[in-house]
Amino acid sequence: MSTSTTPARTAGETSGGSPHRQGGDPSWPIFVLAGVILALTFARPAISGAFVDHEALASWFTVFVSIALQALPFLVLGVLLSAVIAVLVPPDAISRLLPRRPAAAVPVAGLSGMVLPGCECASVPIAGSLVSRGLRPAIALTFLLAAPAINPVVLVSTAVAFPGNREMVLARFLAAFVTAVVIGWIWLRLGRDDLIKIPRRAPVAGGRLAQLVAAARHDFLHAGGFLVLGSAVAASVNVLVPPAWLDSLAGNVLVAVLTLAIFAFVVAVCSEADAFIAASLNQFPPVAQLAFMVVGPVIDVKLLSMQAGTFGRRFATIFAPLSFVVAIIASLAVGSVVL
Amino acid sequence: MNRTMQSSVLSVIGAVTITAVVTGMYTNFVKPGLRWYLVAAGVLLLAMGIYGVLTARSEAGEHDPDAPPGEAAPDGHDHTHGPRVGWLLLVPFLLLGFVVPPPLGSFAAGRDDGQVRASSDNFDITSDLPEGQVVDMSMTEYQTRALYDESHSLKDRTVRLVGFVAEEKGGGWSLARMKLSCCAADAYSVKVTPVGGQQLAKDTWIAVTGTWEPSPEPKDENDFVPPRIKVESMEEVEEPDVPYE
Repeated sequence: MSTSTTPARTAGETSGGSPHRQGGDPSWPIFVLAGVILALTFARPAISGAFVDHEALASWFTVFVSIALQALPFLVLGVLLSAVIAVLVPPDAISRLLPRRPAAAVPVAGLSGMVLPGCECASVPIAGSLVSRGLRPAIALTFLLAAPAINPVVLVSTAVAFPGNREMVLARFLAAFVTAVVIGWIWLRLGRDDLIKIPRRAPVAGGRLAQLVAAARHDFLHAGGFLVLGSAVAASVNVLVPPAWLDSLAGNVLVAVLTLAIFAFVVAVCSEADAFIAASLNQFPPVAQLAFMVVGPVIDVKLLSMQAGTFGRRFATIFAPLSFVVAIIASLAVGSVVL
Repeated sequence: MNRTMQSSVLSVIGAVTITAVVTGMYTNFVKPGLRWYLVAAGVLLLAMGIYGVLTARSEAGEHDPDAPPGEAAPDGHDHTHGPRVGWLLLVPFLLLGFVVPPPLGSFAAGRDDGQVRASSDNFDITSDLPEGQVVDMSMTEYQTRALYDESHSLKDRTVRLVGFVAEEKGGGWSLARMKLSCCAADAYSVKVTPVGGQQLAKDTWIAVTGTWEPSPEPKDENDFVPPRIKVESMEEVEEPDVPYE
């Protein structure tokens, strides 16, 4: 979108008023957007032709668009809830609901993840909002990790994907909960809250509705932008990596667990769908299937991108590997007992 | 991105999403069950966008008029502007609205062996097939009955399956249909091997009418041999409204 600045001036002048007072932004991007739409419309026959000739390219675009479209309702739900927390909930209200000792508040935050029926795209903006409302990061992060993995929608879809295998549902719930709580405790002990770039918002004048919409709009564009980056990577993996590669790694249990953990990281499927994929990987031992479902909602390429965007890159470089390792250990531990 | 522009982006995404549901194009990407959630999200985004544009002037006018425009906030993050990364959100939605990538076809089907997986579909494979000369059946049901129904309900019955032509690596072809759990990112194929019938160009949608016929035994337990159908007749059909099962 970084086209020449010449139309910027003209557009800015013709829009009237004082451009400085309105944030100093020219209005030319709107004309660029209109131009892009027009160009796409005219180019559509040529693009459709290219899709017929280049099937892999067409698959990439379809998968890329589908991840964004699938995530949209959850993203909107997430940013609206996070805006409500940011604008309507008094700063100390959430802390008061939780046990005063942080170490005790962590598991409570983990369990409260059960009430958010969404996937991981919804929980990142909510956690960001909780942190900027003054909740201790370790507690907000526990919620961030637990919510997409142990909510009823995800557990039901796991039960459907593994019919007659209630142990798998139990194992998933336990391993995901343990992962979230252990990472929360580790983060408390580490005491590296300084790594977190606390999401701050511009003060918005006007009533509560204006503030609510401004907060939701900001979060939507922010989290959504990073979501798109992550889905581009996931679509590339989907199209480029031959599934047969996986089969050769299914033999040894540890190798299998690590393989599916890495696979969960790169394919970045929604936590509401991952059980079906895990179930289909039936050449792998059950504990590896479990690891796939425990790692995915905790860390994957799109989450990494969203977390780095919301809490800063320095935070993500510590938190992502920590999440990955703890999730694998929890899967192995819970899997060996329950499965 | 200034406030008006942010609101415009929200409106465009909302409008494109609603349009994709109304035209049915959304079924190239996600399950039809997501329909109302998408409409709700689209309406909310459109409403937020319109509200934002209508109030942009007063918001901007009242917001910290002394601050020089565009200056970065103390955390090095410019808050008078929206997040620049937000522009990226337009990419998938402009593609969805104005390019419309095709549904997954033979390329995606060529990536797996075409075996049906555990799913939330509900049908009782031991129930008898409905009366009638020709029974319309989903590829999933046909494969599930062929593989797992010990009462052989398919035996001596004529069924009609709709799918597209997928080329097989070792030569020959399959009738295939992609199946989704949530969205096209988790799609996989369900295949049936036609016996007889002329091979058409890949990705051609066809309806195959025929009868079940036993498949050869698989080589080992990891080998999958798709069920077969003995082709009685075959015709080209339009791509179904919902391309996936």
